[in-house]
Amino acid sequence: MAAAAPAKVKLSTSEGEEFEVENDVAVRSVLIKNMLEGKSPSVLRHVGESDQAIPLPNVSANVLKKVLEWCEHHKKDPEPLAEDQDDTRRKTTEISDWDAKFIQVDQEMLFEIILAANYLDIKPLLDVGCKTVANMIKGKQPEEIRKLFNIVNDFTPEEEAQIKKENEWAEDR
Amino acid sequence: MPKRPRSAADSPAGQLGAARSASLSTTSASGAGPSTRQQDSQSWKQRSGGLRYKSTSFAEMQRKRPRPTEILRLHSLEGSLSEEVLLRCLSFLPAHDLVTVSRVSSAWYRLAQDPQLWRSLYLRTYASSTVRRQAALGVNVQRSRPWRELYQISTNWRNGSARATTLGTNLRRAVLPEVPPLDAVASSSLSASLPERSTPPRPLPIAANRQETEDTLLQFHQQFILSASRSTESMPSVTVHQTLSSGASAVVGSFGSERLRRFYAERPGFQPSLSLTEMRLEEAVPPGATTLLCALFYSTGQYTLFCLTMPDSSDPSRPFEAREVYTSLATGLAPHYHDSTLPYRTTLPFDPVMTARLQWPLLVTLTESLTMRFLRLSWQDDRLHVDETETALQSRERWAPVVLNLARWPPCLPDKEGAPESFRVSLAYSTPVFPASWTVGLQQFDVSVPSSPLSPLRVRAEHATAAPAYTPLPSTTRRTAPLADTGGSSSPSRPSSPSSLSPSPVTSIEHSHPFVVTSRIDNTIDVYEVASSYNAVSLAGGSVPSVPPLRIRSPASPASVPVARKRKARADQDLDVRQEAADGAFDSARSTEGDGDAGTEWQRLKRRRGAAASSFGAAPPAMPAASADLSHPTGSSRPRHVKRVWVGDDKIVLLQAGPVVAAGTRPEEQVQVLRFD
Repeated sequence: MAAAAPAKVKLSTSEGEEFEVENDVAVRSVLIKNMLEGKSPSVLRHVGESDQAIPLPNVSANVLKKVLEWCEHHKKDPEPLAEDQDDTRRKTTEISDWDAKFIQVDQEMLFEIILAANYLDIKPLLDVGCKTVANMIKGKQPEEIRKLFNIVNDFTPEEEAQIKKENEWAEDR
Repeated sequence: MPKRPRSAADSPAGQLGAARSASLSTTSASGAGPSTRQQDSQSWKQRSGGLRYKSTSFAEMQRKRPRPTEILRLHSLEGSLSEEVLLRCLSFLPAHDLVTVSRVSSAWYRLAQDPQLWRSLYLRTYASSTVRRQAALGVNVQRSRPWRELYQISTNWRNGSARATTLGTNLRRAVLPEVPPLDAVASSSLSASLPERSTPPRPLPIAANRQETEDTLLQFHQQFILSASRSTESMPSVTVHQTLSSGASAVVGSFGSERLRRFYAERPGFQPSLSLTEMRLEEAVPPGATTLLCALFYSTGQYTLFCLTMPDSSDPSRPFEAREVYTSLATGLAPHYHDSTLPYRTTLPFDPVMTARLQWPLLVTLTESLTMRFLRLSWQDDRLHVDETETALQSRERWAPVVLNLARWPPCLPDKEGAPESFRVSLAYSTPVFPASWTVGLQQFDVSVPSSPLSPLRVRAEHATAAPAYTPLPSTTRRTAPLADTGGSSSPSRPSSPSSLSPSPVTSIEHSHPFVVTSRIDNTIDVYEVASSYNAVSLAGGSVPSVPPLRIRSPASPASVPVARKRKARADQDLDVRQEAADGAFDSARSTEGDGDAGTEWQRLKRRRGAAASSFGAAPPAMPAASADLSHPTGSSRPRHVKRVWVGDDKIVLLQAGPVVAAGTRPEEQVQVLRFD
């Protein structure tokens, strides 16, 4: 193999479909990165050297396709900060234009992307998804949130009144 | 690549969920066995362990109506997000959306209480950048604190929204019913032929002056407020109030000195006028301690120490208890009683303590004759021992008003067992400057308390005086405008517009390091900054680090702010305090739960909060029906004159003059608590 050709890695979805992607796209996923660097203690240690595909049993093909689209666009991004140091990132629920367009999917796909990003350990993508969920919740009334996420209200009217009273301090902005 | 048809977003929940691998989605509650459920409820308990719920909260209702802890999931098609991911989503929400989320369902309620959510909200909203940086590095920030409550209190401070509670209806009467009057006790326990108390109460100079302006002594500790009267009516006693989460207050108990009562009952010939001159609670009580000390000082120079056990709402078997642990019955003479050369001779032989501070193991007192004592406390076989052998320090200058402070310095416990504990005692006072000005002085003592009771205390003193900032010459423009108060009618004891030539006497002084705040008779507040940088820890071997001299910076022009009492239609309850450049200056309260390094952080957080609270107007809601206001329905509509303000971590306590009931009597006092929790 020519040295100039970018190293590729094969990924296999839950359906068994295989994707071949450039190494620097795949390593946006910390899970895959650790596997390739042999940091992962699992039996998959050898995958980097062999021709075998990395099995991703929790990700379906169309979700992986979407995730890889994001990774491809963000492959040049700097490494995200460590978890505890980026508290400031929570200050804003702003999402970049490209990401906003990218995440314009139906709710089911949104959750799929979040789950995949969580599983593959892609923090910036996970945050794009979580911020989108947060934006869906923002400014809504409890009843609207229940409707949105199909949640059953299990409070008695007294309990509801009590919680509302407890939370009065945070309202009236 | 194969294309599987996707169902629309609104298809039934969980329809395809079963096909998914279990490691992605959380186990559903319906499928979980009892052990899983238990585990989950346990992990939740651990997570919310730092939260203290209020007594009648939803959490309590939950306990009454238990329901299986449902593992939270977003039911939507195949995807069901784990709690971990949901918490991440919630972490992007501001507080008011977070509390909305808690109203969605019991599972969401539980999730929205997560301490880490509130911790990061608190840190990024109210903490300074320094604290945030430290938090990110894990330095100096205690992780488990009631973050949600801290956030709530801070928000209420910032918005100026508080609940008002009035203590008692008439403090003087509320304070005293428990103990029979001294005369009654004396005459009933002895013979009827005993002489009446012949001497009419003769007031003491400063104490009397104080009594004229402020009758009520107040101290607070967490949700407990101790009140006592300075008036000479009978055996002094203290009432303990508790502010309840409902917004009301209740009397928990009262206590007075039994030994002192017996002392005077046995001495019918010696009946000096007995009243309280100072009450002081132990400060910086370590978190988790169930008892604290309270010191009462009497007009006779005698004093009592009580060990108080505060009731615990979670443990009803622990009632309020006050144990008298030490009583000093010596009625010490004022040192200058026989010294006719001193200009300020008191008429009574006693030298009562007029201000004191107490932080284990040090009790610092300052008496009427400005004698300062450092008393070391120790427990010896369950008995409190007070070492009174230490040399007293006395000033021949006249200071008033003064404020005494006591704090650990450096603000942490000694690292080594047996190392001396060090404290900083400071005395800030206003002092006249010839010919007609005044300034602020600060006397500072560094006290080292050796662990062995045999070795004496070591005291190092420093002194500084601010350059007088107010030269009352006609050509000088005033730096601060006098208050355009009040439209008449305010208290006769405070002339609202002194002549521009007169010095502005200081009416009160507070010291919260590094700021000294004074209020003048023209309702102007001045802020001085104490520049002292004793940061080096003195090394063993006696080498004293070189310390820059103590200095006080006079107020820069923006640091003096006029304080206006607003008059509105319902002006009797309106208080408007403006605090501009004085970042943290009102922050006179010390941490009640701070320990060691967390205390420093707390101070910083609070200072930050002070900055955020640059202006607040507290308009308390309508008074509860049982309050004193309604007991004087015909009372005049005059504004309640606020005599004194205390600022705590989560409350402001106001001492207000009540309505004058009858001509010639002193107006009663009333305590109003503005709570931000």
